[in-house]
Amino acid sequence: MTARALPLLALCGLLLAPASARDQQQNAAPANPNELRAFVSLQPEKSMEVILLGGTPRSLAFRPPDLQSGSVMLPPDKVLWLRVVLPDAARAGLEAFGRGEWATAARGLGPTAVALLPYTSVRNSDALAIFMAYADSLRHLGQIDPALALFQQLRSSPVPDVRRLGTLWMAYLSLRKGQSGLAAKLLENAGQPGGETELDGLSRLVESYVRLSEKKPREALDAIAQLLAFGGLEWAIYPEGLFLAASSYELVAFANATQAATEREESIKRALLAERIRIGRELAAAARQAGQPPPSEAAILAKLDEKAIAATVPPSPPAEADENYRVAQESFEHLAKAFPSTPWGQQAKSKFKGAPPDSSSNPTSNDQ
Amino acid sequence: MSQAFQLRARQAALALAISLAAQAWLSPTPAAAQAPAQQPPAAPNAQGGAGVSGLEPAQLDAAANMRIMGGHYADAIPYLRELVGRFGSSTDPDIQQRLAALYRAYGFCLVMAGQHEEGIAVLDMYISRFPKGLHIQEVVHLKGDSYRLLEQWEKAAETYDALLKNYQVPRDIAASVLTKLGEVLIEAGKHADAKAPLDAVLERSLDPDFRSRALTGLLKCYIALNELDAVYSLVPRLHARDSAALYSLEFNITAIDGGDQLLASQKYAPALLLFKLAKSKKEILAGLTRWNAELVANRTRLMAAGSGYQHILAVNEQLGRIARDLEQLNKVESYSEQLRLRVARTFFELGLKWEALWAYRGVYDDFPKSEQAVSSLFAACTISYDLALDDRAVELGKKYMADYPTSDFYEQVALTVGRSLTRQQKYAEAVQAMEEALAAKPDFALKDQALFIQGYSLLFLDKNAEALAIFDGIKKNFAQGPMVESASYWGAYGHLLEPSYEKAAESFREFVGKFPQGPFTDDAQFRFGVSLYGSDQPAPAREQLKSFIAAHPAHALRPEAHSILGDIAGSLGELDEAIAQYSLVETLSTSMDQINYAAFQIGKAREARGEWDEAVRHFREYIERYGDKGNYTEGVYRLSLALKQQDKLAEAVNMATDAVRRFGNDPKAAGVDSLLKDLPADYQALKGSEAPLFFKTEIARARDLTKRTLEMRLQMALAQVEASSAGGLSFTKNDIAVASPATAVWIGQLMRKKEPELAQLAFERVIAEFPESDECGEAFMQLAEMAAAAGDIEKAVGYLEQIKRRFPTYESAARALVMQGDLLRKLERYAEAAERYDTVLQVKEWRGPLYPECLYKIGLCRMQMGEYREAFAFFQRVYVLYQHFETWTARAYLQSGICLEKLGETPQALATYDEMMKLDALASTKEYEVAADRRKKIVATAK
Repeated sequence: MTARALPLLALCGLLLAPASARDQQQNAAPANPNELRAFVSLQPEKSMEVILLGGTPRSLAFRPPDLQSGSVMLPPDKVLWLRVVLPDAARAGLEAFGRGEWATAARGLGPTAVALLPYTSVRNSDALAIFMAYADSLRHLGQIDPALALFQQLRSSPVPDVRRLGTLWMAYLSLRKGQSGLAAKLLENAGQPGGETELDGLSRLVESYVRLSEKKPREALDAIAQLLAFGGLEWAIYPEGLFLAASSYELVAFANATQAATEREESIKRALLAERIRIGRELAAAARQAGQPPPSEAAILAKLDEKAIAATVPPSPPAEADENYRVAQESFEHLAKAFPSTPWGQQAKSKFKGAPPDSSSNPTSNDQ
Repeated sequence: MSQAFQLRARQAALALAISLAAQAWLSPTPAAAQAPAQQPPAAPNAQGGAGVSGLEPAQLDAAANMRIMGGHYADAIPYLRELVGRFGSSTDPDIQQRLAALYRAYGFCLVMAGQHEEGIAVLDMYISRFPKGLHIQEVVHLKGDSYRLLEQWEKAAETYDALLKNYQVPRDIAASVLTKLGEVLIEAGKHADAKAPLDAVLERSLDPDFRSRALTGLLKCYIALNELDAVYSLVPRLHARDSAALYSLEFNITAIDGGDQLLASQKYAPALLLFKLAKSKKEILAGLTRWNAELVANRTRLMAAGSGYQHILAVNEQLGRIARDLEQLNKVESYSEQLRLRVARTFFELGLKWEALWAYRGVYDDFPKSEQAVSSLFAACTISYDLALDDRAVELGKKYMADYPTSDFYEQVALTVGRSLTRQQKYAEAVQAMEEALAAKPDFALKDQALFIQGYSLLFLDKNAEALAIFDGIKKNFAQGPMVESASYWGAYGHLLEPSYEKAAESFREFVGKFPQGPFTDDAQFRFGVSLYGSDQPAPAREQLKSFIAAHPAHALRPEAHSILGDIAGSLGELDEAIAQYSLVETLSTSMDQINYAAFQIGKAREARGEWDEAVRHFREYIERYGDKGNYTEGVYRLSLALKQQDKLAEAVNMATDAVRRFGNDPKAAGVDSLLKDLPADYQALKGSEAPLFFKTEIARARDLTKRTLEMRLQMALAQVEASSAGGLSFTKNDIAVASPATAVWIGQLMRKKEPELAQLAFERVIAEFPESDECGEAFMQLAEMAAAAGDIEKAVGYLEQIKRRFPTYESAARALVMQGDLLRKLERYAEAAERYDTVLQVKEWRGPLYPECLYKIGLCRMQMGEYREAFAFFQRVYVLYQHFETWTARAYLQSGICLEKLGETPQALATYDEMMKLDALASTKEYEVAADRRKKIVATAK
């Protein structure tokens, strides 16, 4: 399992599964490739191998392999833990997922992940991790609607965290579809983040995107800063959070620069008008003395040196001079160095002005 | 990280290394290594020396083996030494073969017994005598370990290096040797040389323990060599499969120590990376516990699957390692809050203020009892203020003030709270916060700053006198302090708000002289001009404002200066100049409020001079130029007034009708209400009896279009031409919510008796939603009347006070003051009542029937206070000055007579009644009869 799957593993209590255990799983792969098997524990220190027959999130069907027919129905909370014996295709898919080869991952994981949906309700299970790897692969491939449909199914789970996970990812994907209003509603439905878990981090990530869609970069920063303050570097969403924060700092800098430029324009307008009035009065006085008609507007404007007047108003500082811009640049640099192989690290590299050009990167996928 | 903590960790790590070495060398399986040590058989004697010399070789061999197998290495040494002594120089091939094993065991036991130097000498004998011996790699390896345990790092490195170069070391052993080679090179200070073997471990080994140690070592190298970019390269490796380093105590200590070094040398970004890589004790415990549970589950699964014992033993080995790590970790004090604080500080140093805010706040929230909580809360509060997150700054600051009243930062936090509250315009809260802070700390070192916040806030709470007293106090008591300039400026500003223009002008004059270059100076120059104008000095005011404009041609206050110059010119009758100044506002300002003011003043100047053509042209241009952005309906209203003056009633009515239709459904379009005040009469003048039908048709159209606001406005207009039309109308709360201010007041008046709650709602909506509207004063008046009628006089007085305060020049204010006086009299608060009546007498514009009424009522108040002489004087002023107001005159005569009677001045009382009796105009009044009766009684008594 790789860093990409870590959050899911954390959720399932599967962090840092030992390699030798996986080797054993491979050795124990079922003879019938159509059967999906798993080891389940119903009592402490005891486990058995079973065939997974499906069911619903509230009632799971199992059959011991030595039986030819029949099944045992169990509610998910009766299962202490469940470890799937991955079929070869799914194993290959999971390996591809680790390498960021999304299409291969999706092909390999699809059938197993869909079959595992009911078992995502078992608290200590790797079913959710496998399911999420498949959904994530679809997301990376840009197959938003199929991914949305998968996350929608998680929302019927009896486990609150799983429901919340589904809702938050739906909100995330809605944003990808440009449906920020729907995303905001889903975010609200998911409830307020109350802690410092990765799920809370995901909530803040989505909130930050929603605020950005509302053109509120400061509020976006406030949300994403919580993820960065409490989150661990190993969280899959951490690089994205870093990118989002850096982008928000950059937006704040641009907003400040725009504001300063507008204020400068106003100052120039006032200075020009004051000068126009002064010239007009001078010319009018001269015309009166000479017994000539008052000066025309064109005559006044001809004497008005707009550039010289504008030059008297100090230039407004560019966005690049804003402290927030510096912070954004440093954050992009930091992200590009720390997570160079992630899409976010690669995008950050292109945003960082001091970065050397690199044409080899593909920020979205390795094998679309 | 404390030195004691590091030492403990290092000792624990070394102890672990020895234990592992023992397992690797002597135990055939990990299970055997974990078996309890057997008790050694009794040694031949306490020293073992003399006794062993008498034993046969076979006995010596057996005794040594037994002790080694039992783990009693030191006890085995005498037997082994004896054997080496007896056979070490033998050339017998059989003995030579056994000697190799003997030297190996002897060397090992010496090392394990801590006799490293002797052990190394024995191992060297093996190496020199049996260079191709079966166990030569193990012996060289052990020699390296001995040097390592002796902390002879360079020799250890040479030995490990020689082992790797000279022998074909198996892959699993090579990982161990490479790891140790890297570690000893680091200890020897050869960080550059250490990188290669450690990199090789990561390339070749999957063992989580070796990988973890290699990552830790590499991190030490990168930090020592200042290869900070390389530190970043560790992140993917750390997050690669099965990385145990994240949960290794040694790695975390290294990361934190490294972060500290980088922080000290201001290399914040890599420092942050290291601090973020490091896990807190709680996180490591949680991670190891999770890993442990997973391994247990895995073992159960392997057993269920009938897997080979090697796999199960491998899991057991990992479980053993986790158990040892957990044991070590439990001995370590929690450093989580220090780590979080480092993260927060590094965020801050990098300018990542939002992240710093949350990180500091997290330290306080999660470790409220820790030493770090107080400084973290202070930092979070301060950063919130810097980021203009005022609500949060106040929330955190108040927590701080409550939790740490005696802390060092208390004063700064209190001031931050005060500033945040004033920035949010929560002035009452700011005053209270400063009061609390000053009360909590009588020796408040930054007292002038706290007082300034208090004074500033009081100014905006309309408590000018209190504010000015505070500003004066700052100027007097903190004359050399930093707040004098601000206190001086805002003190002058306070006079302007009072308004006390003379004092304001004097204060601003003084300010400008004293602070010619300060941040408030230009502003003060402008307000000096305003104050001069307010104190009736138009010429100096004009001069001052013109010099302000000359000095600051691009100043944001310039349009306002032109507006005031226009007002000044207008007040001096210089209407051309006034129009010229107002015209400049339009070209200089982007504020619609300023433009509207100037535009309508220009219109007023035209109207004042009867320049109706100009007025029409002006308002047409205004409407055309600004359309909906400007005050469109008010513009149409003024245009219609001008048109009517030109006898263009039909055009005026058409324009008004069009504007009403277009904007009548917008409750905020105040001009529509103005138009509808005139439109019914105008329409009637134009079309006679068709007016009701016209309005009814318009009402029906509005209803069809579901424009309820317009419909109600038109119903109000219809009532003006057909009073009965209002009789059957009914309104709901929803109607009130969409009514314009004039309509709401009209509905309220209509419903006052029938549905007082609805009426009250209507008036309250006007006050809440349209506080700047003309109708707001009337709404207060109506509420006051309702409250008075309901007997709630205090409440009524409160409403009237609002009128007096908020609408001092509003025409209803006079009526409100009189009513307030009447109510205060009912409450027997005569002095306060007399004060209200007297206020009316101070405003010349209110001269009229209110004057005799107020004089008379002041007289009544004085009578109630027993001041008959003064009361008499007020009554006398009524009938001397305002005899044509018969009602008040009659009452005043009667009360005058009564006063004189009370004073015992009966002849004068009689004369007063006589004087009254001569006035025929009063003969029909009730007072006349009473006075006549009193006169008769006096005459009768005199007889």
